[in-house]
Amino acid sequence: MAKGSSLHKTADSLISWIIPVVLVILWQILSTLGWISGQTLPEPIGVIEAALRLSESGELFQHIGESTSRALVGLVVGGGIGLALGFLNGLIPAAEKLLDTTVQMLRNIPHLALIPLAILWFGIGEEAKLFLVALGVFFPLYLNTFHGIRSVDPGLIEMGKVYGLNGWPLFRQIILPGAMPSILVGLRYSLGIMWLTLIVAETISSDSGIGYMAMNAREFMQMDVVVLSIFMYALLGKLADILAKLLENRCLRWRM
Amino acid sequence: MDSHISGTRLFIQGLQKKFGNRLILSSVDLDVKPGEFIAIVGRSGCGKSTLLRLIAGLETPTGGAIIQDGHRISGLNPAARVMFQDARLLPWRKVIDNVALGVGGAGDSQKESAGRLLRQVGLAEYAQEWPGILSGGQRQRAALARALVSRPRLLLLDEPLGALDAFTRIEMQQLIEKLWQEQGFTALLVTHDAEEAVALADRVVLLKNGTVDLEVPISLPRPRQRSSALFASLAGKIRDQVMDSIPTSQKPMVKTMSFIRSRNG
Ligand SMILES: Nc1ncnc2c1ncn2[C@@H]1O[C@H](COP(=O)(O)OP(=O)(O)OP(=O)(O)O)[C@@H](O)[C@H]1O
Ligand SMILES: [Mg+2]
Repeated sequence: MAKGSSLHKTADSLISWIIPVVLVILWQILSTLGWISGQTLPEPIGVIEAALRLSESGELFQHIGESTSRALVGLVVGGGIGLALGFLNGLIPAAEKLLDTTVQMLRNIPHLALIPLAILWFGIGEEAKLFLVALGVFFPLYLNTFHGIRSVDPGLIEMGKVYGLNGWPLFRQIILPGAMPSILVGLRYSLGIMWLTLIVAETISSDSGIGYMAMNAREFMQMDVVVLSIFMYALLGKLADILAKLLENRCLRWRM
Repeated sequence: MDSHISGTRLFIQGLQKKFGNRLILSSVDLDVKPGEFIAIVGRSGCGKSTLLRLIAGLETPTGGAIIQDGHRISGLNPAARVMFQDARLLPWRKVIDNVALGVGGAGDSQKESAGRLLRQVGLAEYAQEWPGILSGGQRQRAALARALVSRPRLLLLDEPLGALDAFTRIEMQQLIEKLWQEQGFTALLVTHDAEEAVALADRVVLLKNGTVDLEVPISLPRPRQRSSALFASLAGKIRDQVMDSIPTSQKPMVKTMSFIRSRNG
């Protein structure tokens, strides 16, 4: 039965790839026929060639590495603060009273609106991009952690107390696992915002990374590299989502 | 059996509980012998759960005292375990680890006791499952195992079987009675079911207007035959007494039944 269902799954995922593959083939045919001009879109083969060319020179990986490390550092800093503050405000009512209104107010400012300010403060160096990514991922993690902690079944907490759990053991055995589904939703949401912020920030001002690669290629009219950059972003976004999904499957096995 | 322990003796005196300005329990007096099985009945909202929570140490009294084996209860009552209407199993722990929580951990010896209790409640084959797949009755069995695995001297049951179907309920009552006879703990059971009270209790206590209104000793031999006429009439009379205690109907209660003695005369 397990074998049958896994076969089924493979078939299912194959089906979902039919349309993308057909579209790419169609795109290639239309480009070869000259129906899509090279000025609008490069042909798929051209994009692949660009990928190979840039891989060989190592340029592609260097840019991917730059972007990824920016994304991760921003995530760790902003997400870490969001998580910590979510725990703090979720667990300690006094902290919530003091901080939550402020956080809710700041949430209404779109973080991308701060780009000019960030450039003024930090220049176009790493700090500006880190600041923006960290700010962007902070809110989803904060909000979902806070909400997750608040929505832990009070009956379970009371049960824990009857069984002598208190302080750290109560947190680790009941509150944290209870809040985990919500925290992971926050993480997935943050990952989306992380890439989006990075794309915008790197496109506007950067001297390395995928966004820089795209903008640089635009100046030299290298359409294939521009499209390649877009694909790289999509790929990295998808990869992050898959990792988050795996983490979810691991942490939330009990929900299946 | 060597597993027999002595239940706690509870001496409740003038117990009072207010929530804000609302007086829920005005003055509860109750004397519970070690190993006795008490059923507490009363209309919804009369403070039955509150009384159990006070004994468990989950609430603090606003007056009076609960003396357990000569010591006044303050803070969480370490001798007590509580079983609630919902099983309150941790969904992220395997059934056996939920039971092991009752002995405070997941070490080998804890798992061993947890496994033993699971066998006693008939859930051995579900030890490695997530609680999510259990039926309502199985969840309550697991909760019962968790409550009893530490050999508590006092078991507080707050309508633990209220959500189960009639057959499962009778099955669970027999299980609770069996484990109570084996282990010898003192038991306080809150229930809405007069038959359940008569089936299990040595004494049925009626809570009304914030105080113990009536105590009915049940001296039927165990195991109790539900089909007997005496059983049915006892259950019927307890039901009548609960229904009579509607706060609005202030008619004086006539207590003529010989086996019922009123506390206040
Ligand atoms: N923490 C609390 N704060 C304020 N009021 C409370 C609290 N806990 C219980 N009460 C009130 O105390 C009264 C008695 O509640 P309790 O839960 O003890 O009733 P009960 O007899 O168990 O009812 P039921 O049979 O429906 O379970 C109710 O009016 C309830 O609203
Ligand atoms: Mg209740």
